[in-house]
Amino acid sequence: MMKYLFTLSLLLLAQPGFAADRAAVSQQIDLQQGRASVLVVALPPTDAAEAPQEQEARRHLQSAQQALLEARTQLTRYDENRAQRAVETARIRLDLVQALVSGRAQRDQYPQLQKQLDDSQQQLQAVKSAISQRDQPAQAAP
Amino acid sequence: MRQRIAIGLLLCCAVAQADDPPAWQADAERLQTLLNRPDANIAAPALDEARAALDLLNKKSTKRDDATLQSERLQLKLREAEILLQNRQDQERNAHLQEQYQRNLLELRYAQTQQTLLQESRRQQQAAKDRESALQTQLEREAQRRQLAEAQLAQLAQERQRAEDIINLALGQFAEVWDDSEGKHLRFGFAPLFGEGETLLPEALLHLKNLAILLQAIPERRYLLLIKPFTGDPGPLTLARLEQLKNTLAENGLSDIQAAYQEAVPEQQIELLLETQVAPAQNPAEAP
Repeated sequence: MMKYLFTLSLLLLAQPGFAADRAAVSQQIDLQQGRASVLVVALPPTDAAEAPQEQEARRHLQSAQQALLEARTQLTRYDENRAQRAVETARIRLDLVQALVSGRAQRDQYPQLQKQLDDSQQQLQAVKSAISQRDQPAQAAP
Repeated sequence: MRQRIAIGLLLCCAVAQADDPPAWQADAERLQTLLNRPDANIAAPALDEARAALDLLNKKSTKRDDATLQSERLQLKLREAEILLQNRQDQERNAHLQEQYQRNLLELRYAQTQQTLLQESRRQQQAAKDRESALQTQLEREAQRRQLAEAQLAQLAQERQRAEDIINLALGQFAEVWDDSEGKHLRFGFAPLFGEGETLLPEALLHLKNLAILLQAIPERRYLLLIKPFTGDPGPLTLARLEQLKNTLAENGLSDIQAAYQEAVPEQQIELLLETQVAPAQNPAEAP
């Protein structure tokens, strides 16, 4: 909810005719910078065999970091509107990175779960067939 | 100059008109598709933001710089929404797998228990069968032994009968012989033994000697000499003859001979009864 309101306020700020507040933009940059550094940690170190989602996340994280740099640069040039747009770009990208990162655990878990299930299925099948094989002579006997 | 400006403006408008709608037309459709999904609420904030971006893009007043940002925002938010929905799907799929796995584990445990019980019951069945067959074997062995014993018994009885027959045949030379429940009866006439007198004839003596030898071959009998009484008194001749017969047999090994009077014996005849003993038929084969 907070995020939503925040987004709305950003939208208002991004509207032409509204001059972006310098302090607010600076705060925004700091906030997104914080998120970016958290997400850097959340993403594992580069791995040759990583999933396309991780590659995508890494790409967006990089461009978010660039956008934040750009925002800071624009802020030093007193171009609050550009700085605002740049930080907004960073935010959107970080949102996407966060979505990608948050799904990672489930994605990684999947093959293991599938294997676990298959193994248990096989084991079950083995026991069941052992039972039915043993059952038949016992039933035929009397 | 004015003409140029006018043409330039017209071109700009044309480019703007031709360019603008298709640029995010596809994104608008994508947004609509996502909004139509039943689980769209999971990605509601992202979708709302995408819609807001689309609205801004659709506004003629939006500046170019801002339009670039909004277009990017639209696309990235759509992607984010897709990712969020995908994440939820992954989560549900994993939960489903986990659930299935737990179900399998339960079923597996049940099946393993069943298997163990089955093995146990089979083992018990086998043990019972083994015991049963062992008992069966024992029973058969005992039945065989009994059969063998019976056969031996029958053979023994047959042999005894044959021995008895042979003895009877041998005794037949000296007397009339028959067996009954009382025992073995030998009946003589007085005349061949004594002639007219009370002394045994010499050939009769030899005869009795041989008879005594034969009789000693028959074990465990009690000897009884039977005569028919005369009216009142048997008479001194008969008594003397009886006495001599007893003595002769005693001399030849048949001691302890009792004498008795019996109505069934004919006149001038004497009967030697070899009484059957109390336990006549022993079964040596029945001993284990």
